[in-house]
Amino acid sequence: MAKRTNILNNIDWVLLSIFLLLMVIGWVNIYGAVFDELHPSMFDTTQRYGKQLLWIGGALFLAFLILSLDSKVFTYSAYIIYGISLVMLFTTIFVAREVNGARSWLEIGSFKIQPSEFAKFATSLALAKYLSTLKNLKANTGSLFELGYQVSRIFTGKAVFRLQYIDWKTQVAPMAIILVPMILILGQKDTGSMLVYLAFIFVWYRAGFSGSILLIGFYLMVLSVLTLMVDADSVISAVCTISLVLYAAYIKNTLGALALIAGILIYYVLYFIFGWNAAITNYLFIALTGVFLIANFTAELMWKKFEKNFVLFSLLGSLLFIGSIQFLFDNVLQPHQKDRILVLFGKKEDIHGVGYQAHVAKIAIGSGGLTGNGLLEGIITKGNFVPEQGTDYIFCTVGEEWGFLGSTVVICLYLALILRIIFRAERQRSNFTRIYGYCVASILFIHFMINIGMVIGLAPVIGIPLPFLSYGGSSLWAFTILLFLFVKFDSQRLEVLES
Amino acid sequence: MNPTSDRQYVIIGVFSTLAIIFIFRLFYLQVLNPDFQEKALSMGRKVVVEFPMRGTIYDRNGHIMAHNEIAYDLIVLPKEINIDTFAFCKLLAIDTAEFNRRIKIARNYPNASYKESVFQELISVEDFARISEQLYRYKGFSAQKRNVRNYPSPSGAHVLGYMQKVSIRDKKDEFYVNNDFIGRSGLEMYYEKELRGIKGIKYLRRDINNNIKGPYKNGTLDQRSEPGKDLYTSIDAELQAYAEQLMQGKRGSIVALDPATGEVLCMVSAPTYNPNDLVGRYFSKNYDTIFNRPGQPMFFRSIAATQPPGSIVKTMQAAIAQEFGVANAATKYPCNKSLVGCHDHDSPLTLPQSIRTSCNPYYYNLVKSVLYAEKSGNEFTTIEHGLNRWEGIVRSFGFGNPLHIDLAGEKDGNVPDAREYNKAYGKGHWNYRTVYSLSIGQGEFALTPLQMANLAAIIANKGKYYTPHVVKKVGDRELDYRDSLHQVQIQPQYFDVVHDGMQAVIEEQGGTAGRAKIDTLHYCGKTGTSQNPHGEDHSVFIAFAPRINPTIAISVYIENAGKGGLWAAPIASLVIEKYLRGIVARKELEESMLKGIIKY
Repeated sequence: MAKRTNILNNIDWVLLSIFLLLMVIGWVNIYGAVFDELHPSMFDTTQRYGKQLLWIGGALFLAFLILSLDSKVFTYSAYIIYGISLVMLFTTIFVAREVNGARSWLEIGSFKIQPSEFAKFATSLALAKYLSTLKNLKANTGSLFELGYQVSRIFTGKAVFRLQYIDWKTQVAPMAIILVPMILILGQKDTGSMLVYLAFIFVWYRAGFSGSILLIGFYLMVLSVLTLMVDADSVISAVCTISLVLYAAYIKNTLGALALIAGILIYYVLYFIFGWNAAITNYLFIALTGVFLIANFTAELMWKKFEKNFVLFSLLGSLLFIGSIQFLFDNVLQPHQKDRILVLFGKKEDIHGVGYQAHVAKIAIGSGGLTGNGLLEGIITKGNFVPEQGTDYIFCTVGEEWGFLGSTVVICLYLALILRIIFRAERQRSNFTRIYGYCVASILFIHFMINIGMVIGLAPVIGIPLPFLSYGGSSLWAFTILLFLFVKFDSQRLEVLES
Repeated sequence: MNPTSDRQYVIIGVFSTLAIIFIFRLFYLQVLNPDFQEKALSMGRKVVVEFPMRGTIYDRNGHIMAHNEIAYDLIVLPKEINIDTFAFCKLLAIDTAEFNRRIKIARNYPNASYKESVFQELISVEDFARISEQLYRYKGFSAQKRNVRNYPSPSGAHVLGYMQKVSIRDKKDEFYVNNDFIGRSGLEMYYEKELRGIKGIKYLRRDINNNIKGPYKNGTLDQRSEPGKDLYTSIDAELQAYAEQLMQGKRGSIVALDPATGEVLCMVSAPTYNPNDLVGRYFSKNYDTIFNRPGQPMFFRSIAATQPPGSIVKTMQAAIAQEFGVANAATKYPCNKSLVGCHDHDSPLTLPQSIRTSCNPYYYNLVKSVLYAEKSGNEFTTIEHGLNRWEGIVRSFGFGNPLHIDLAGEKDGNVPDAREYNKAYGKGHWNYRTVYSLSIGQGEFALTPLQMANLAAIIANKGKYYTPHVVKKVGDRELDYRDSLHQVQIQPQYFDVVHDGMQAVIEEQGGTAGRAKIDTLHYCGKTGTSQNPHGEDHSVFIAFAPRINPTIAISVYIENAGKGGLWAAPIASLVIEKYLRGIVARKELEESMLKGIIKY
């Protein structure tokens, strides 16, 4: 079989090139980041830049290995691989030593690996396999409105919440595939790696789950950011205002609508008179909104006009959510996590303490200017001012030594890589490969988003590596496997006869 | 084929949007925000400043008037501190509360986490020797070499000027940083840019633990310090000290010039202070004390006190009258006391005799004839025209404007013109009776002591002068006084009569400054009595000596000391004798002048 022997025949050279390019960029920047004058050689294996070369060699070997195997090995053993990774994750919780507050490293002799890195491709394989075997995965085009409608039906007694509404096969099981490793990783206290699993929202969405997921997710994200950034009271009054205006547009009673609008206006006049910080006006407004809603709700109940109540229910939902975000922030988050969020939103200026890393990272990147200071010329990088600069903060070095042009090139390479995967995934006949492709693209995207967002001060400090650039064998190898499984599946797409 | 395949575009849209947001953010951070480059440099680059030696100031004989002493700043990097506070406080002789106060200040400096600030400044070499051998024990503290002024002789304070810590406004000049000193008066201020030199800057790379990792950019940006340029002044330090002694217990000024060049030989403003008191870390404490002493010691009278010059301007009036053709050596006027007060003397007098005797009515008449010399319309327009003509000539003496001596803070004095009287009295509402006091140097007429000395120089030179100046040479560059020649609008021969009269002031019977006679020395002088609203008249005297080939022109003005002949003239004569002969033979006069105290 000629196809088997020439494994390089059908692979996507674009993906391979970007992969190689990113690894080389990573290696050069690790050299820049942790350069030691006593060991000036890039190939010195006592230093991280020398070691990274070894990891890159290993990654190339892994890629070659995957490409030489039959892809069926992976499709058939997807659940087994998933199972093994769960066992490893579980074991790690109990045997791992605590490093930086997390128990995520498994040590076998002198060899250390991070099972949560490898669990990503295992979970991707399992999810892809499960979703691709589901028949009748209905394309649910349901909207936010529809969801609100359903909820309102249950609330108003028009419908009753029944277990049967839940489709175990299509709704609970796929979620479980993701939730189990998430919980185990949370057990390792590795919040960052856990958050990566949110990537699968995109996979579900593409696979056909309700579009409301993205919309609701986005809406809730905006709400939580505003709640933490401004304050709960203001966000609540804003949400109340919008809802009441919308509601005024709905009701047929013109006088009532006008009265409602007038009420809102009076509130804002009071607001300006008493100042932005006068909590009393806020509470008054919220209370009045509540009274109005209850009164209206009772009336609606009597008149049985349930269908119009979407606005009111989404408002109730929003208020509940804002409350719980505030509660979560006040009572559940640990002090250092709270600080990171406060620093991100500029509510806390602590450049010597918790805010230092974010502060100095911005300085490093900002000082790169348009074209950067050049390799080994970054003054912040060379002075080791940025903690974790070889690993999670590698993008600082890119920013400082290669400037805006270099950073933009790296961002474009990531976008190209991710979009190329989506592009190839969409051309698959096999549902499995397409879904797996989306898993790879989404995981890479989440890493890209959180890591670079963190480094340039748009996301809170969450320690996860930048794929292919950050120093470290585990993450490089895990990403290589993740990517090359897709490259392999993709190269065999013509052998798949039916979708 | 796939019902939800359109959703790929939503996903692609979300992913691409985020990448674009990142690129915009990077553009904002890296291209639009130059602050970060500066911040990065201040973190990762340590700037070591090498303070240049400020230029030395020499007197005309090569004696040092101002030079530098090494001192040390103790600097601190608060986050590195790891010390035994008690022992450290003992070493510096401060208490713990003071220590904590200073550390708190140091912590609150901008960029305090990586930038040292001064903990204790300008420690003397002796004190530092004791501290430096222990310093290695106190992590977080280090020393930085500075230099402070030292004045070997405690005289010449006003001419030399003092230095003060820079203010925010000074720091607009990027040469200066916190704790730098800048010249605030006198030569130190006027020649600040020449004296200060060029700071040496060494850029070093450092890491997060403040360890030096070697030169930044291989030292290519480093600058070597260059010492400031030395000033070679025309001051005679010995004469200066002597003149200051003579002024003890008095308020006023002595200015002596070399009329041949305009060089300042000495310039005394009394009361004075010890320039060493306004140096280094005790500056602010001492400044307030000195400032509040009676007699305004910080006030540089020689160039900033403007007074009616009194009768010394009669010399000028005599020359102007000749230039206007309204008088010659033989012109006589009677002493008519009904016009203006005078003392008892022979009458009538000739022009030189009028100078000798300082007859007020004579000058009432003389200047009246000057102002009415050219008929122009009615009586008022004639005097208006005459006064403006007179004013033009008087201004050519350098009066009414600063002479532009090379010292900071020179005042201009005042020469009134017709416009000034028109403004005060209204056009046509004044006449000679209103302005006659100008003829005897009173009224609106005001000069600085420097301008008075320059008047003596002008008369000595018969109508020309060089801009008075203190500095002859800056570094290697000779300043050519000849570029600053000024010609007074009076022909030289008219000064001969003035010289005759001024010599008679000292040497003849009836002269107003008989006490100023120096045995065989023939020289010229003129007394003045400056009326002022604050009590007794000021005693004024100008002179130049010798009469032939004069080498010194001098003005002495002593506040509230009465007639010019009483104090100012004898003191001027002592300075002249000291300068021309090196020693003063008239011991009795010298002693009475040295001991003389004017009650204020």
